[in-house]
Amino acid sequence: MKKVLFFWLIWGGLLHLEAKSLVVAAGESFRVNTLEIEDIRALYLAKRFRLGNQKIIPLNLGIDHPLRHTFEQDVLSEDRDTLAYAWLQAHYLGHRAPKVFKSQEAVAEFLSKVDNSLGYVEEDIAQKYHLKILFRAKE
Amino acid sequence: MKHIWNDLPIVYKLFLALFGGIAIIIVSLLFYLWGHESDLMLKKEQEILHTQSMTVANDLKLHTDKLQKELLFLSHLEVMDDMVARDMDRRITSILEQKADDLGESIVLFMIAPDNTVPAASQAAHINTTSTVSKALRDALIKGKFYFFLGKNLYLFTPVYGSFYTQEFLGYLVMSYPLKNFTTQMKSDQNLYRWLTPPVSLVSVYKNGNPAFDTKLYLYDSIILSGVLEGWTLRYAMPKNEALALLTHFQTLFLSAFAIGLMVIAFLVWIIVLHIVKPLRELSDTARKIAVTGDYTQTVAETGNDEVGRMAHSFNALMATTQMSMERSELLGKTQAALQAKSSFLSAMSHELRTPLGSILSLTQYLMTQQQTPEPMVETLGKIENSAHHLLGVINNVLDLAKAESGKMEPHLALCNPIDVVIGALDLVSPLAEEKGLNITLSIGVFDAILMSDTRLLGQVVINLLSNAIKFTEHGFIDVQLHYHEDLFVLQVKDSGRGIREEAIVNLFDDFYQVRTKDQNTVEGSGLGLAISKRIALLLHGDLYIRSEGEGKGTTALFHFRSFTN
Repeated sequence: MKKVLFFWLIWGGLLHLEAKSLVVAAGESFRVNTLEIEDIRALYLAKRFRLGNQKIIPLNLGIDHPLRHTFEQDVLSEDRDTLAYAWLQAHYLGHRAPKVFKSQEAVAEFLSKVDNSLGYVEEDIAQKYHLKILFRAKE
Repeated sequence: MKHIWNDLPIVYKLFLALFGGIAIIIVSLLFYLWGHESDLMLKKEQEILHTQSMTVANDLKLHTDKLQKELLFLSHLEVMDDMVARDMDRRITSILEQKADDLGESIVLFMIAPDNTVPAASQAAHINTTSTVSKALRDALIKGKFYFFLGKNLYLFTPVYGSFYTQEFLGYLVMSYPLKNFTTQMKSDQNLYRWLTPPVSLVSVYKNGNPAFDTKLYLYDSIILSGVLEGWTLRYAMPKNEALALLTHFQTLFLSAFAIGLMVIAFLVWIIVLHIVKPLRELSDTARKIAVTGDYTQTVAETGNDEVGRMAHSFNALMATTQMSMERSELLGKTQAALQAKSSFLSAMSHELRTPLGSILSLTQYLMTQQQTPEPMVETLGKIENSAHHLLGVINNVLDLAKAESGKMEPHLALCNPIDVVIGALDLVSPLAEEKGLNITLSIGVFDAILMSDTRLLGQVVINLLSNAIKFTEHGFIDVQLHYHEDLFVLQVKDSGRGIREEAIVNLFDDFYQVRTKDQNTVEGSGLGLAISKRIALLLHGDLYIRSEGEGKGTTALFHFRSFTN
């Protein structure tokens, strides 16, 4: 019982920490400086693929990554099945699901090198890689 | 050599001829097949080797193509996008490690980033190093090739582009393939050598054996490779004795069978030859025994109706004929000896008889001429004289016959006139004919031939024939004709006398033969006249014939004689 309680306390604490620092970021040369949550949801729910004339490359973290869980819950506000279904439909229309990286550092590195890419990382990592923060999740 | 051959027994000659012929044919065939089959086998083996080596060459190409495809497949994986992040998640490295493990063959896979660094590799030692093959890679690209040889390796590479919208160039995925791996692809063994010869420009890169083979002892050929190994040559060689191993095996078997077969053939030929020669040997042995013993009654077995059988039959027939001839010859000798003895006896006896008979005749005639001899005694003495004359005639005839048989009768040749002889004889016998009232006619042909002969002997035959005609003719005529035709004098004495039975004619010339008629059993004379006349006629190069159509139908005697000048 003590172990279960300890686990939930730690897990809850971690989630709390992640949620606080999640930002949606892009490379410095990204043409847009801020994004609304609707834009982000539209891009990640396969409803939009462009910002202006620019094709966007959304990035994702691994399926078990806690930050992805936070992002889907707090930003996208959709469950995993809805997301999967949305991208399945988009797949048949010739669109590709967000690229998945294992680590936030890899996402940050990719964002810093590919202009049109967009991803979510913790804020301190975004700062470390000099990324442009387009959106901050609620603390 | 010919002498040796001639001295060989026929059994060996036949055996050598038959067996030698068969053996020569088989050996010739064997040699022909040996050479022909060897060439065929080598050609076939060469084709097989070439086909196998073509397969190896194709395998090499397929293998390198497969490696290239693997590389291409890897390069298209979405995970290659991690190159943008320099494989910070080590997902590319993980895949490269896995793939290198799967491929084996000491293959190394690695990525070269545009800055010539190696962010990901199947071997940890390569990661985050600076690539040493970048220059060679770019040189290959200039040549339009996605492979190059460096060190002891073949490098295959492919550019990697981002899978996202920008298709950004992310670097090169490179595979390092040790050239020594090709050795295992060669499928060589201890009897089959395959090796690769690189183009001249790569001699320093690949030195994996370039053996020199004597093409007389090896089947040797090469195949030009294509694809990644374009310019390379696959060479192969195989010892000819290995290529011919199967043939040699069969040839050994065949030779063994051939040797056994030859022995069997030799045995059969020997049996056949013996079978053929055995009767000949028996024939030869029998002939030798006959020659040694003089026993012509020996025969050989007549087996079959072939040439040998017929020869045995002929041999037996010849021996039988020889035996008969010898018996006849022996009999003839005995007969001649007996005749000689008889002649000698008759001659001696006649001579001994004639001497006292002469005395009897002369004394009887003396007494008959004496005045004091009373009349009745003269009559008795006359009978004695007649008997003595008859006996003397018989003895003279016997002597003549004996002379003729012993060959002591020889003609005393002189020119003579046959007409005179005939007339003289007629004069001599005509009183007897007149006594019986017979009419004698003489007809002589026209001729001017000269006769060289013995007048006395001629006269003896003519007198005998005329005497017989008068003796056996009771009434009627005696016709005498003499003519000459084609060197032959012919005297014909034809009478109308008793005639002779047909069956008696054949015995007329036998010694002491006398013709007996049915109604007259009494005979006159000794029965030697015609026998002596026949012999004299033969002695005078002529002959004597008697013809008669039967009893009571008269008789015709034909006396042929020739001049000794012809």
